[in-house]
Amino acid sequence: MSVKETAKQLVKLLEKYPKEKLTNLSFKEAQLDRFRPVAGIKNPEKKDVKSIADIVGKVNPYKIKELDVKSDENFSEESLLHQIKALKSIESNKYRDYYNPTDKLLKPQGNPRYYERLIAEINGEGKENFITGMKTVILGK
Amino acid sequence: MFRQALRSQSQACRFSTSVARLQNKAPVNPKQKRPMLSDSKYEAESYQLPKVMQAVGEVAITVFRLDMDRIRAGPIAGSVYYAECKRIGLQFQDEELSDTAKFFYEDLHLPRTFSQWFQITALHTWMLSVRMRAMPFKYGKNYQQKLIDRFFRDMELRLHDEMNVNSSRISDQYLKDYNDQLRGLVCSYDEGFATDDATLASALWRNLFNARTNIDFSHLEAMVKYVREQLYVLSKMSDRDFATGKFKFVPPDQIVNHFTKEQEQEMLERAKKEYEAESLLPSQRSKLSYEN
Repeated sequence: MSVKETAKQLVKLLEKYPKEKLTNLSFKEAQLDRFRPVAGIKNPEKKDVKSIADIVGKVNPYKIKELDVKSDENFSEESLLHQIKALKSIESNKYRDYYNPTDKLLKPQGNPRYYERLIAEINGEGKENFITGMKTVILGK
Repeated sequence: MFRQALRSQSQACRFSTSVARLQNKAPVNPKQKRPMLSDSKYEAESYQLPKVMQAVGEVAITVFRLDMDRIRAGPIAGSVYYAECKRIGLQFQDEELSDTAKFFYEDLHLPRTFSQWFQITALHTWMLSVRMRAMPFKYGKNYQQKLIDRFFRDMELRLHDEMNVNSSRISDQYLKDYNDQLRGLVCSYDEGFATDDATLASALWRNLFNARTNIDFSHLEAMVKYVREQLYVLSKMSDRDFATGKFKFVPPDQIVNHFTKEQEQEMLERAKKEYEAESLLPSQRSKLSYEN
């Protein structure tokens, strides 16, 4: 397999990656932009989308002065296969399933509905009203 | 003459390479180094409370029926656990890195800056706060509060003494920014923890890896494994063990395997023996469970 073919596989894998819900700084999009040219696929043109440097700079002006983005990265087939292997084990939830924290941490005693509420909020499944919100803050339930 | 010049040149060359190796881009180069925790004599490593004071304390706890689980939050979460988080990523210019710091700065190629230290420490405090959430609400919240209070107090002092930020206006601004970052990262790590590895990896990429585009995915995988490992060990700890400060982070070069039934039984027996002993002092008592 050539470098191009391997990169195509990597792009396919990256397309399966879950969509970013919290910010517009998306790992998936950034990596697709990075590997599409290697696979010989053209990056789609973006209208008015801020660059990563803009977003990071706005969030924290002290953290990064300049992002070290290299557009002329040289990939060998071996290194790409290495990336594919790592990405596959991330996407297959290998570590979540092996190191399963059980309900002890996922439904914590002090705040059993914490993660449920958080995920519902992130997915936009409805907001809690003020009274139940205050109740949770004070009592943890 | 010529050979001498060549030799001195090669020496200069060797010198400059060794300097280049030692110097980092944004060094932490303190005029005076802060002690690990605070200037208080009670937090010095060699300090021992006099026997008389100990006895007075034990009597006071019995007479006033003090809630030791509440009192313990300060010294355990604020000192023991904060020190545990702080030392992981601690680095100074021209100084040999610790084994854990080597993993972050050399193996993962993270920049050696103060902000990066903040990110590493914040990740570890988040892992501890996930476990604290699983304690009874009243105690867990107190533990979380003490840990974060100490974190920011220490950062304020480090900025002043070690990063030589002398203006309180500037250091306040930094602290506000770090506070914003902490809120953001707790939210995104929590999301990743409760959903899947891919979301956790994105959260790590955004925070710990500063959203660097040309990242090696195996570094990301190593970090996901590292975080999941620590949380697994934390989930296997009982409230009592955790609340009395027995947790230590697993070093990055070690692999965590599942606990076997026998090992879990052994841990339970050890806890029973330790916490049900007749000779337990009033200050060592606790209402927290040691069986979960």
